[in-house]
This record gives sequence, structure tokens and C-alpha cells, in this order.
Amino acid sequence: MLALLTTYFIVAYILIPGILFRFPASLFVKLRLFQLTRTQEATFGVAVSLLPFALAWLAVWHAPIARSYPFKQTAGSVSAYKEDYRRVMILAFAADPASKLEADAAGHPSAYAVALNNNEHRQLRFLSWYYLLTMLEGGMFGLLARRYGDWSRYPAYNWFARKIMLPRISEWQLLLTDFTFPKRPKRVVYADVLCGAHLYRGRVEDYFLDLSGELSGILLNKVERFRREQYEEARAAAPGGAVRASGGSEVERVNPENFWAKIPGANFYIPSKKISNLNVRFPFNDASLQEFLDRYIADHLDLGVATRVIVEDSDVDIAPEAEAGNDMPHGPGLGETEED
Amino acid sequence: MTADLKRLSDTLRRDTPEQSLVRELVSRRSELVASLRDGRTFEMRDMQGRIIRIAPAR
Repeated sequence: MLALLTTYFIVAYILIPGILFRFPASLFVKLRLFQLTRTQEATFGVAVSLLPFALAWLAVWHAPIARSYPFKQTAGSVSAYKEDYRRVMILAFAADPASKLEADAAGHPSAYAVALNNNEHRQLRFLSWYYLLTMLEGGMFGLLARRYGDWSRYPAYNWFARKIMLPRISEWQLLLTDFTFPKRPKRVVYADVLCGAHLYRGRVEDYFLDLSGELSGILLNKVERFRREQYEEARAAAPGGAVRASGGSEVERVNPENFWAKIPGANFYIPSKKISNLNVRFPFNDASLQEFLDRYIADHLDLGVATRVIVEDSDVDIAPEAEAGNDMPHGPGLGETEED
Repeated sequence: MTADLKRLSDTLRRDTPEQSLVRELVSRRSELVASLRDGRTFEMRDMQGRIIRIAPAR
């Protein structure tokens, strides 16, 4: 019976709160803790349940609603509570507990049966509030974590994030989402993914973790594949080679940007076992980039003329494969993805 | 994986793509000015392959 009671307290007071905390928190962020050992699970459960446990305990004793609902029962004195628990413990260790629960000749329930019923209601009421507060704590944790990019400049929040939040958040959340950056201006996540001899680039739409919290795959959108062989051939054939002129004053003869071939289809899944290298960037989305450049040019470049900036997706004007290798009609592109 | 996620977070924020873009824009300022003066649109690409067009305002 002692083992049964111990199991009940561990499961009800430590393990279930740990699970309940993770559920609402994971709606906002991916937590680092996945498949834990029993000790880790218990430690995590204790850590997340301390605050809701204390609040639930205060609530069931002092808050008018929590004192009565749910599982309403007549309020008693502290000594009555203690007596009920004492009777239940006697019952738990009695050689023949059934005999102690039998009603008397008049049909009145025994004092042990009444105590058992009272404690059942108390436990259920306390656990209801305890679980609710644990879930609220999980939701608050997730919400606070989501604001990391905006609030990490505040020392108190930064301390909380470093000590409490970040150790519990999956590193992939930081690497494959805009978690680290302020929510405005809006950013998107782009990745260059090297899979064997093939280099792909695209916008990260989603990512998947296995039970141990490791990356199992990545879903890209607007994917392009770098045609390395054609690029090498064009480099060899080009009179000016592929060496970028210093200072950007001369036009690069062969621009790697012309050798990205668009892959049709909305979603491109790459399993992690195929990935040998991942280069992640967090650029502004189109609208934010346009706004940023408009403001930067007006404030810093002093061009003497009013300008307007237009940002267009690469698949609008990307050079088709047949034309790849031609010189760019305009200056060199900004970024040359290193493909080796 | 990295144990210190705070350090990872700081590293990710260190050099953002728009900072590279700004550096490129500054280095090619004379080219940009020449294009605008002739009434032409200046074009460049960012690391995502997006085309950025800077045109004289009408």
C-alpha cells in the first residue's frame, strides 16, 4: 500500500504536472526536453511544479472559489482535516481495510469511509487547481519565450531567459526560426543546405525533431539547386575568370547567382541524414526589406534624388537554365554562396 | 549541440543579412548614383536571390 501511495504522489504531483506544463508551452516554442530519463523527468516535474503547487495550496485554503469548487464539500477545521488524513493512513495500512469501511447497523457510513470521501474531494479539488495553474505556467513560459527577440535587451528578462528559459528550449528553435530576433520587422529564415554534392537553398518552412530532440528533417520552400558543374564550366570558359573585381567597380564575368535552378513544387523535404552542412540566414521578408532600404537610402546615402525600392522574388527573374553562364545584365549579385 | 543557447542566440544576431546588404550598397554607391542620374534602375541581388531594384521616384 505504501508503494501504491508513493506512486500516486509521484505521478499526480510530479510527472503529470511536467507533462501538463509542456503541452501549452510547446504551442509557442519547441522545448528541449523530449525523451527523458525517469530522474530527468522527475527533476523537471519538480522544477516546474513548485510555483503552481504553492499557488494552488494558497488558493484552496484562502481563495473563495477554490475553497469550494470543483468537488464541493463542507469546509472543516484544520484539526478535522488532519483527522481525516490520519484515518486514511490507518486505512491504508490496515490488515483488513474493507471491514473499517462497512456502514453501521443503522446504515450510517463509518468514520473511515467519510474521511476517505472527504480526502478524495480535497485531493481532486487541489489537483484540479494545481493542474490548471501548471498549464497556465506552461502557457506563460511559452509566451515569455516567444518575446525573447523583443525583450532580451531588458536585464531582468535577459537573466530569466539565460537561467530559466533558454536551457529548456530546443536549439533548433533558435537556429531554424526567427526566435532570436524582434518580431518587427518581420524576418524569414533561409538556409543553404549541402547534401552530398548538391547545394540547395530555400526558405525554411518547417522542421521536425525526433524523440531525442535531434533534427529529423527540414522542409524548404522556394528551393533552388546550385548547378555546380555548369558553373565550373562557365568559369573555365570565361575570359575574365570568376574572380570578383575589387571594390565592385568591374562586372564579374561569371556570376554564381545565374546558376541557381529553381526546383518546381511548393515543399521540399530534406531528411537530416542527407544534410552535411547547413548555413542559416535570417533576412527581412520582402515588405520589411523594402521598407528598411527605403529608410536607409533616405537617411544615410544622400543620393540627391528621391528613390523607390522594389524587392522581387528570385523566381520572377531568375535566369533560365539555357541562359545560365551569360553575364549578368547588371552588376554582380550580393551574395555568392560558397558551394564547396 | 550547443549547450549555451544564449551564446548561440548572440552569435546568430551578430551579422544580419541587411548589414551585408548595406555594406554592399555603400560600396556601390557611385554605381547607384550614376544609374539614378541617367534615369535607370539600379539592380542588385541579396543572398536569397531576391532582386532589389532601386529606381528614381516618379
